[in-house]
Amino acid sequence: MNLYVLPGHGIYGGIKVGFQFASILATMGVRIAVATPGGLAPTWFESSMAVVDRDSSIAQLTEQDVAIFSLPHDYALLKRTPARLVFHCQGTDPLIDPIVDDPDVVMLACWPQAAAYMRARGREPIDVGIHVSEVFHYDGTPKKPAHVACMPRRGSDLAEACRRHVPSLTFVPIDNQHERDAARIMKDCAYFLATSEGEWFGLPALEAMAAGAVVVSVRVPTGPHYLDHGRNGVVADADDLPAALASISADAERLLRRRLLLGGMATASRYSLGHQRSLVDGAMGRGLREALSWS
Amino acid sequence: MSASLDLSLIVHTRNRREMLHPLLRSTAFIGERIIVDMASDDGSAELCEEAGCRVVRIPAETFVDELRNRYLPLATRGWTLLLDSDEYLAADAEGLIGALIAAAGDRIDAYGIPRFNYIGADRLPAPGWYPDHQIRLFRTGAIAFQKGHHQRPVVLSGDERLALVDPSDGLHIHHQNYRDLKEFIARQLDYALTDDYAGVRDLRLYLAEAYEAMERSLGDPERSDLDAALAIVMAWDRVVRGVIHWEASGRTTDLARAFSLPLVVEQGPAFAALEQRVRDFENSTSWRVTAPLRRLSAWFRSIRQR
Amino acid sequence: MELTVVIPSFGLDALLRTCLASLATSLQVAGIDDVRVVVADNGSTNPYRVEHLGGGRVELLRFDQRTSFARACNMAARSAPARRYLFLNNDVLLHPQAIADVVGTMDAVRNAGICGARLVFPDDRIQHCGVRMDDGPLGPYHEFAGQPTARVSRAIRDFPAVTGAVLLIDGQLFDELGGFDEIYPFGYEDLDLCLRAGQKGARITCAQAIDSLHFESMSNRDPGRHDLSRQQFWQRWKGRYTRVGSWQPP
Repeated sequence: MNLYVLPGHGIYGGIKVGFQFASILATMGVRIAVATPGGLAPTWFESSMAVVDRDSSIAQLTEQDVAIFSLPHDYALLKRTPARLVFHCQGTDPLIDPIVDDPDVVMLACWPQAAAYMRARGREPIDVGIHVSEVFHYDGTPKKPAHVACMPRRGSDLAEACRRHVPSLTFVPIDNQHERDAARIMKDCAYFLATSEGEWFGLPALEAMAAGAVVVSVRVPTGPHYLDHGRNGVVADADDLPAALASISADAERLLRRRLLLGGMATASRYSLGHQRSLVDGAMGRGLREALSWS
Repeated sequence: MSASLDLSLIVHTRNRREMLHPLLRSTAFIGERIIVDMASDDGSAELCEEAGCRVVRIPAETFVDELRNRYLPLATRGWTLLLDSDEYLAADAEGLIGALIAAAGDRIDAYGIPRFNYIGADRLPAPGWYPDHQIRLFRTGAIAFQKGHHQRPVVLSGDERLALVDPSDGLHIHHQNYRDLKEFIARQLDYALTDDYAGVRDLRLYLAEAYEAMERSLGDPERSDLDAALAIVMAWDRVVRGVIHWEASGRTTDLARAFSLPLVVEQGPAFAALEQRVRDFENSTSWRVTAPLRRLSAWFRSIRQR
Repeated sequence: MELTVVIPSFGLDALLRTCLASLATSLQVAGIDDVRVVVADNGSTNPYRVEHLGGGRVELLRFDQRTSFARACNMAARSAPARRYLFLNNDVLLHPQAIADVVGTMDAVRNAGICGARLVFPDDRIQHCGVRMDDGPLGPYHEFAGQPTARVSRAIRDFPAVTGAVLLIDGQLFDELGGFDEIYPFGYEDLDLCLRAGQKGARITCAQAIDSLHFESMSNRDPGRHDLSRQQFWQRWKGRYTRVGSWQPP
């Protein structure tokens, strides 16, 4: 049996990515359930995965079982069980170094940056990709040309600076909502403002691209590899972000906006569920099959 | 004809008599010209024979690329030039080809030649249509074609032995693609309906290609209306292929959830401005006066929610 | 034994006979010979007689005192252990190709532990093609229920649960789960079985190619018939299942 161990069920991208990956493994015939505190299921995105109680499930792990985890803090606890461990790397931080350095833990990477980090430490991860939930893909909702979706939890000062600099735009916050409501907002809005300077990889910008919003993002040194300034979004340093937003929203830039929008939708369309399934299918032949439990 | 050029020409054709004239005139310098005629009944084969070509008559086939593999061995010269029956060369092609063959030495086995594409009298300059390198000049036996329509041939000795001719250096293939836009659309549909749809391909990848077709078109500052029209048709073509592939795969995925049309609809600026004015007025005036405006505002909200 | 079919039934003799006849045809079309059919006579006023059930190989397990669906099914299954169990309602008339479709789907879907069937009302509207969990207080609901079957996708997909009206389950999994939970007096035991199976890592899916007829609730139409079971279900599962979509009126 395989257990994807999560620290909670609240609104954090890593929770959803974990469920998505478990779901793909399930469709490939892997026996797997997701373990959360109290066996409580997330209510903010769609999933068909079964949920079990984390504490009792971890206590029952045997050497025939595999525990998959993505939060570095769970490593010490799971290392004390007889189960084999698989690390599903969704972000990089020195906290993950002891995990990466542990040769008994199989490395999986969602993003190229994670893979590069692990390779730098002498490990070769298995690429299992990531995908944008179907609900985000644009469906023809009429877009409000002056509306900007943003996530105030992530970089509120910078968002506020942008709002003051471009008063002609209406800022629509996405916060603590079901992903279908977040998707509705993104589809409604012409722009998505990404202001989190700590957001290394960040699904939200990719989800916004899928929703047909022009992404205007603060530059992050190890930021999302899929963001290509001038092709599928606008990327600017924090100090320049308000001006960049003002510039791209000007009447004269209608053609450029259309181009960035199409480029974004092209990019996001390549992060489909079907594509990730193909990746994981391929990964089975590159070590993932051996890493999992088939009993 | 040139005795010094160690070159064979191979052309596959079916009922293209009209198009063959410029091809035959512009390749007269080539010593060995082999025309593989697929059951033409418009006199194409006879025209080529009169021009001194060797004509091989075969039944018609859908996939010409795979067919080419069968007839490449007919070439007896050291290098082979492949042309489609609606292509031709410029008057200085002989010298330019000779220079490429001489420059190949022992490093190059194949050349990608840039191609001018025309619809009627209009050249298509947009990215995707130009420079449109085609692997058509190669050491005899050095390439093999793949299954399907317009798949890139494989250079058997590796891509490191392929050179792309710089568009500014001269040699081009001239491709009189289509008489007009209607013919272009009909041909794309025919390719889409007859292409090889092996395996299961994620539908959203077709959509990604549709968006890319549109985005490429917008990226060209010299884009003409015709370029825009072609981009729309090619985007549509990817969507149609996605649906055909879905059908060919046994309709195993939920199409409604997997697909959306590559369209983004914007509310016009006039609508948004009016909505804002209603909102401003409502916020600044007494309740009695704004009752009708509240109804109007509610109507705007209902429009948004649809 | 390859397959045991369990049909819990109360009265409705003519309907049961027709159900058995359609079952026999469907088993024959599927080429399944190694099968036992066990009718759990759940306290019918007039006990069933094999001779009156249209012939064929039918075994009867009689309960003089009416018992829960869960208990009746469990005891019938234990009386005829098999590699797979098919639980079938007496008001389902199987299409001749239905069993081949359900078995074929179960075989094709990797790690499928349970497979349901696509069921329609007499007017060709969907009665069941998989169970989803609603976001709100409704909880489990039949996806696309009430929609014309021609308009509903036939793509094979995973579900948290399927209806017990036609439910094929791997025998080993059924034993591991201890069968249906007998705390449920009437209803929700099938959903509970599926959710527990999911927790063991088994996939639940539903055959979609063939439509069979389901009259639904022929034997008990009391609107409150599921209330006690529903309470049990919520107590155990509230907040503990993931959700997809929400119920939409047809």
